[in-house]
Amino acid sequence: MRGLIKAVFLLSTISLGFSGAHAAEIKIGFPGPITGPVQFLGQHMKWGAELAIEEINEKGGVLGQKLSFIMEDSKCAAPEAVAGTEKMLSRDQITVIMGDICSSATLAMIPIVERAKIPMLVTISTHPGITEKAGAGGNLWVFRINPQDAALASAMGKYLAEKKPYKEVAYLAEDTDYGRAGVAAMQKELEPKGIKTQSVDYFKKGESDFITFITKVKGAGPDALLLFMLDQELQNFMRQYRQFGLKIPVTGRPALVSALVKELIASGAFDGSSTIYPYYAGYENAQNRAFVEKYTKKYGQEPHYVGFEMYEGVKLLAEAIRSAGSTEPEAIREALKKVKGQSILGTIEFDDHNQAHNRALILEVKNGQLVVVELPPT
Amino acid sequence: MFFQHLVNGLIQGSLYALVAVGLTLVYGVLEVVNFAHGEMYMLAAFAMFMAFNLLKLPFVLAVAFTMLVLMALGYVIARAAVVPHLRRSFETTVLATLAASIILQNGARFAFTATPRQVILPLEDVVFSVGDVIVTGQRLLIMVTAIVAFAALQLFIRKSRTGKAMRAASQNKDACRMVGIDVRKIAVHTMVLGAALCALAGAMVAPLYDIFPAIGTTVVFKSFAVVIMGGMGNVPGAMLAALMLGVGESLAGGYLSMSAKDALGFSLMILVLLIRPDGLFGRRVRV
Repeated sequence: MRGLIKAVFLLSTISLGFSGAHAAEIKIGFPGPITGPVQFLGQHMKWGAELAIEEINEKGGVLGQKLSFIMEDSKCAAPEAVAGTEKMLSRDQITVIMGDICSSATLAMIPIVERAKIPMLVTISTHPGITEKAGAGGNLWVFRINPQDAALASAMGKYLAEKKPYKEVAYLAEDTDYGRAGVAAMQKELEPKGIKTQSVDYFKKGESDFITFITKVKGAGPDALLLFMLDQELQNFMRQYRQFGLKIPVTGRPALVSALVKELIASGAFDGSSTIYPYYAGYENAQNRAFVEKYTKKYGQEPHYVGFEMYEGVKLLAEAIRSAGSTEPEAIREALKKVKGQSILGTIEFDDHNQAHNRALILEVKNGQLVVVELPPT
Repeated sequence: MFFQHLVNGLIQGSLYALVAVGLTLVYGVLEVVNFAHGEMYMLAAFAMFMAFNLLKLPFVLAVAFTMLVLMALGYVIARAAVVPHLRRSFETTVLATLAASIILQNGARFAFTATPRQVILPLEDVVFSVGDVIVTGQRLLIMVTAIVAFAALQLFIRKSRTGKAMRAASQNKDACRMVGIDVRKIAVHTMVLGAALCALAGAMVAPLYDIFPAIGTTVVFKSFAVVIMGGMGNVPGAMLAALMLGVGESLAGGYLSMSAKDALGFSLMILVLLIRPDGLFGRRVRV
């Protein structure tokens, strides 16, 4: 009998403990790459989000509740992102969800989020389709704070046509929605301006060997290489580029802002290369310096672009929930539509298609250093 | 540019060969498909990173260190995931080595984090050129290592007592048991030898690309294609198939596109399976 009473007592405290924790937390769900070829970026995304959550919770959270962050491994692939989203919706009862990094995965999440009717904030995927389907006349639940491919391509296209003497270019992009949409947007921008396409190559995500491409362009001699490459592949590419003594400038959207390629840029082999990115850790302003310092102190590495976007995304969600005054999905959605979020680079406001138009950075390598040359609106 | 593509392909092929030969050797002798092979390659690259960047060993000693670490690992995997299942059905070892692979990959992510590492060798920026054709010192070293390793392997398998026992085990395990060859011991030796070859591949390639816990996956998939094309268990077959794949990929990438390059390996594999199901150079026992 005594044992039974003890057991009942124990059980009741456990269940009380659980429901207590449940009521006091606003859960942000996020399917992102913990394993797979872009696990390095997933790590930064988690860091960025957790830093923002820590800052918000230190100041007492939102609406008297703490924020918490749940990450499910998506491997950056659509099927896994879908499974992770379903799991977090049914098991964890998340309040809001954030989009994955890879456009293919984010696109696959959208129909589920629409069915579940909870707000989704995309912070990194750049595929135009995400906002084409969102907002007025479409999916009401999806918002995006980072600039999309077409906007980045048009800003960069304008810059290249005006400032660079390129006539014929070779494209190299990852074989994903991100790479293919990026190439299409850039071609649409450059070809009417007289910058012709010499060749287009797509490589498999996670590829480390680019010698065949380098050998090919060494023979063909285009004026510039238009790359759509994330950090790790770019690092391998740039090492091989330097070994083979290539002299053709790289541009498009290579991740020259990445900490991984700092030394390669400093070697001087990439002077004259350029890129457009929504963030650069070396950007000089007081807010950014404070953010970089905090991030670096906590994680031992300077913030990556994806860490920055997740950080700003979580802050924006917190602000929207605060101004909504409730955690009801519809209230949060309406608040997001009206929000004016403070960003390190400008203000985050959504248009009719729930797309924000924060500023981006055009950067160029000069004397072994990455320099901000323009801050175009997107 | 044709000769440059050819040289690139031969070097890439040497790399595939170093990884694939260990895999095919283990299959040939034990009839075990070692799914943890890619993780052994990944850990070899990390061991090289530790020896060279953290312990600051000179290059040759760092390679020796990597081989020792990997041979120890090969021993552990053999004891834990292969030997206990030798008499059981085929799926048991598949599951056991797959489990080892998952544990090792996630263990590496836990221990080293997902941040990519680099081993920077002076040899990487030493460039040799003959006419238009360029080769870096490190790439040349891969080819030389592959040639030396295969010569040594052939010698070992043909002349040494253990090598002869391995050949015997690949032909008839029951007969081995009858004449007093300990098949379990041979299994351990084979796994250790496979691990040593993998260590060479990992150590030589570490300075070429960045190192992170998922690098084994791609390499091992290509190696499976190579092993199947060369004939499962056929060591010289795997070498030749690896070189063919390397050159084929390089030419396809250079004259068609990079996506054609990736499609080639597996298209060739399917073609070989359709036309010669036992592989280009016949199956098994030719260790």
